[in-house]
Amino acid sequence: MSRKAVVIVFPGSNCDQDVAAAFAAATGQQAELVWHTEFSAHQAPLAILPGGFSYGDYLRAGAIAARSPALDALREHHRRGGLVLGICNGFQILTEAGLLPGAFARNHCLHFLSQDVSLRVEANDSPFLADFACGEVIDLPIAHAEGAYQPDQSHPDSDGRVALRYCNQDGAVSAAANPNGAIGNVAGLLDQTGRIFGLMPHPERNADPALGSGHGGRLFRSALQAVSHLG
Amino acid sequence: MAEPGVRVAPAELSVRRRLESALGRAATDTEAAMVSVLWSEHCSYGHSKLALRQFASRGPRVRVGPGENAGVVDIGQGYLLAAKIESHNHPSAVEPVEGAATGLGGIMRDVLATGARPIAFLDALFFGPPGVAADERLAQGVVEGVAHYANAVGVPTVGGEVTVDPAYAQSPLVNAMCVGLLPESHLLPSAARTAGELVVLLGSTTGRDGIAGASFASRDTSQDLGDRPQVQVGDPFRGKLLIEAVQVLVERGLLSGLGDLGAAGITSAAAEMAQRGHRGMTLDLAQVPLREMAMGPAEILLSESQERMLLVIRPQDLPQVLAVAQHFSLAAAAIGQVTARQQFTALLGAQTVADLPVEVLAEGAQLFDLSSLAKPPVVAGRTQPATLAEWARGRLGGWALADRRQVFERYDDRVGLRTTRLPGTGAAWVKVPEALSTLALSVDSRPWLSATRARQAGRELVLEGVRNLAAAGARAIALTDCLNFGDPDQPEVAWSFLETVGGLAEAAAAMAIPVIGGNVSFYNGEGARPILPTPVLGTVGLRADGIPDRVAVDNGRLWLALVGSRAAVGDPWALPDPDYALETEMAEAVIELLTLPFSVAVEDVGDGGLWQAVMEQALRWNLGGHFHTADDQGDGLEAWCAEGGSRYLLVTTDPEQAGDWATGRGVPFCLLGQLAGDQMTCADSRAALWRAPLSQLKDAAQRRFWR
Repeated sequence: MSRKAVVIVFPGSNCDQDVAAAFAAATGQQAELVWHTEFSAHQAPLAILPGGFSYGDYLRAGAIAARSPALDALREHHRRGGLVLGICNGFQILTEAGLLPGAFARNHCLHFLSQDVSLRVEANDSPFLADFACGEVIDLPIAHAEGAYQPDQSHPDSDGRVALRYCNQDGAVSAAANPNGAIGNVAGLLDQTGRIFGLMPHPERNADPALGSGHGGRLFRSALQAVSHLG
Repeated sequence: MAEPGVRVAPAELSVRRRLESALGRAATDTEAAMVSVLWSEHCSYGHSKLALRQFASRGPRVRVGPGENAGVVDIGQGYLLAAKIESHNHPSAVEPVEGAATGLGGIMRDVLATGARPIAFLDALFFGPPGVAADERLAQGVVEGVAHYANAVGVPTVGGEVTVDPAYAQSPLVNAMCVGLLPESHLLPSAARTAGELVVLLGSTTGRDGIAGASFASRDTSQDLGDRPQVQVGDPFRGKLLIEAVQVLVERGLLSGLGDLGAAGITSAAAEMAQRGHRGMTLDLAQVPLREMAMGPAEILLSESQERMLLVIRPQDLPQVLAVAQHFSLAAAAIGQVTARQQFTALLGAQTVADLPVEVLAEGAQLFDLSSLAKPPVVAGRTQPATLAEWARGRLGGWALADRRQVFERYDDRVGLRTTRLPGTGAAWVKVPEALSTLALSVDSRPWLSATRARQAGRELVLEGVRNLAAAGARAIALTDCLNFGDPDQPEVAWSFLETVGGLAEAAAAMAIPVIGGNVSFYNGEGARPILPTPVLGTVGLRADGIPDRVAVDNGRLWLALVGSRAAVGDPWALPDPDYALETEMAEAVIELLTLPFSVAVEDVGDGGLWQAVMEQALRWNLGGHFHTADDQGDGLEAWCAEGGSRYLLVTTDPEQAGDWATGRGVPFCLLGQLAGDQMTCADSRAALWRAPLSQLKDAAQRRFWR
């Protein structure tokens, strides 16, 4: 299989085409859109769960998509060494499915928030962030209403590792730099293997330097490098 | 006896008589109910149709003009743009979240019906001032409704405006514009042209929601708040699925006609599509997928359940169409057939429940000529301030400078990866790499000007659209208008409506920009108090080549200069007569100016005059300064406050070069001063007229639209 990435499309996903286009522009590799019922573990070494409002965010953001057969296939994909990237609603689906710990509450301002944020890279021993230095500050946009990350109280810090935290432009992690009330300013999380990465910000939205910092493109290139020998 | 759920009001009896005289026989209750909704003001444009004929809608780029769903213009490289603005005022006044949400859904489907993929929303919202709990609830609810729908369907909200004025207390206006993109080959008629083709209903199931919502919108909302079920409920999740399903159907060439179900539901969509195709339709209501039990034929025909489209397809394609619907979990059913005979026939199984000539349904409504009724209003207007200090105090105490980001941040402004300039600074930029271009989009309104000088306001709106786009480096190619007024049977309202349309039509024709569609909303206002006449104009343009999106400012030394001039008329509150040739020249000059390396930004001088434009730049750069005008701008008050005239504010890194350019180009140029420090001073050539610390502006920018 020469295909490096697929984007799993759920009913109500709305960043699927954006991610595919940004990934292709940043890496030169196509990311194919796959309807959630047609996803299987063998399709590509990198599976991306895009942002949007899967199933209308009904019940809870990500809750219904987490029951899709695609998630069983995703577990198999991960078990075989595949990479999983969940962006925004994709991250919410991963927590709802138990592939990453914790859960999301409504933003503390109680409404949807679209803005640019600064993020401090907390861990780079993952394929997704290998191109970044620990402590580096990157800029990405957020766009969500349920982004207040709540860690799993029964297993604090046991299953997940924080990869990105909201910070100010100088890298200070503070309440003032926290846009949504996420506990510990958590914006991005890795599983123990480092191969499942969920983040609330949208790397696809500024991968193109015409749209912002271009930092999102580095993230895609870093992920591609990790899978270039796979598949 | 009327069937359950459909009341026959006394006013509708005259409609029934009119129908029966057209038919030459007694009408069934179903037929009477259909016609009473379809002939309502909301659907028939009875009071506005004659006046709207003044708009020039043709042009080399125009592919679809007014009268269908959205207007469509050619933007080159084989791509077309669909655009339309529409109001959803009455439902938003009753149920702000759902009212605004379904407004967005409705305008999105109008664009979808052309075959386009929706790529941008802009909204013009009008609220009463905060401090009154009911108005805050409306304002907050409307914004929540817009966000709820637009964010979830994945169409970015790229711009718009928010106006706060006591005139909109309890009568908020919600005007939404949608823009869509399509390759030429995807363009569909909203018509049924071929007898024997199938009529398919796609989308949500049909329920009792919003029955007779159209005639509700043609009434005074303060009279009867027991009408809540008439506000429809939007489901953006289904709306998103509908976008994707229609895209697949269009790409596979499975559609020969497409219409949106809005006001008056199946009745309106089917009658209009049949009328445009010069065909008829026979529908079997028993085939309509319902979400409620025991719905009567009139209820099915008039339901305004959201997220539904009417498709016309070749019979052999039905299995493929149903498969696409199933893939997206949407209801779909063939509910009828296109017929050669131009008759609208509704069956319920074997029983005929309505059988009307299409022409009677679609064109039978009474048209009113407002000109016989119109009478100029006696308008006191606003008491005008005598000094710049007094003027500034008024604006600083209001919402003129309030940071609109408090609203825009609640919208997804960049999904789709096309937004190259975020909302908040002038016209929106939406890139269309498919057509090698970038769109510039704006919505404008000037309610107080419309209230006092309706015709001038109409002209000024067109010119403001042109200036807004020029300041964004773009040339206007199309206009779409949303005309919000009170009760048209009131002579003053009729007069201001006709004057507004006259002014808009004159300026649009003079500037050679076609009006490609729009919407009229009457009966706005509480009881006897109408809203301010509020025409809202959406302007669509294309950015010129060679203009950078962003200019790096290295040393931070910036100057403000006024480019262009306004004929001094001695009255700061009067507008000079428009000079259309000069407007075009100035727009071209500004577009050229933006390509030059010393230009950082240009904004047009519009609502609030030069004062407003300068304050906005002070806030943007977080710098004060001492700014003075020259004598040819009129006395201090006129120079700083007056509106009209082709004037632009330039932010430049090099005032000398900018001045040289202006001299060479023969463009009036006045250096106002340098952005520096934390004090603001506005002066004329003789003396300082107003001073304030920058912090006062920042306080005004912090003002909230609700608590």
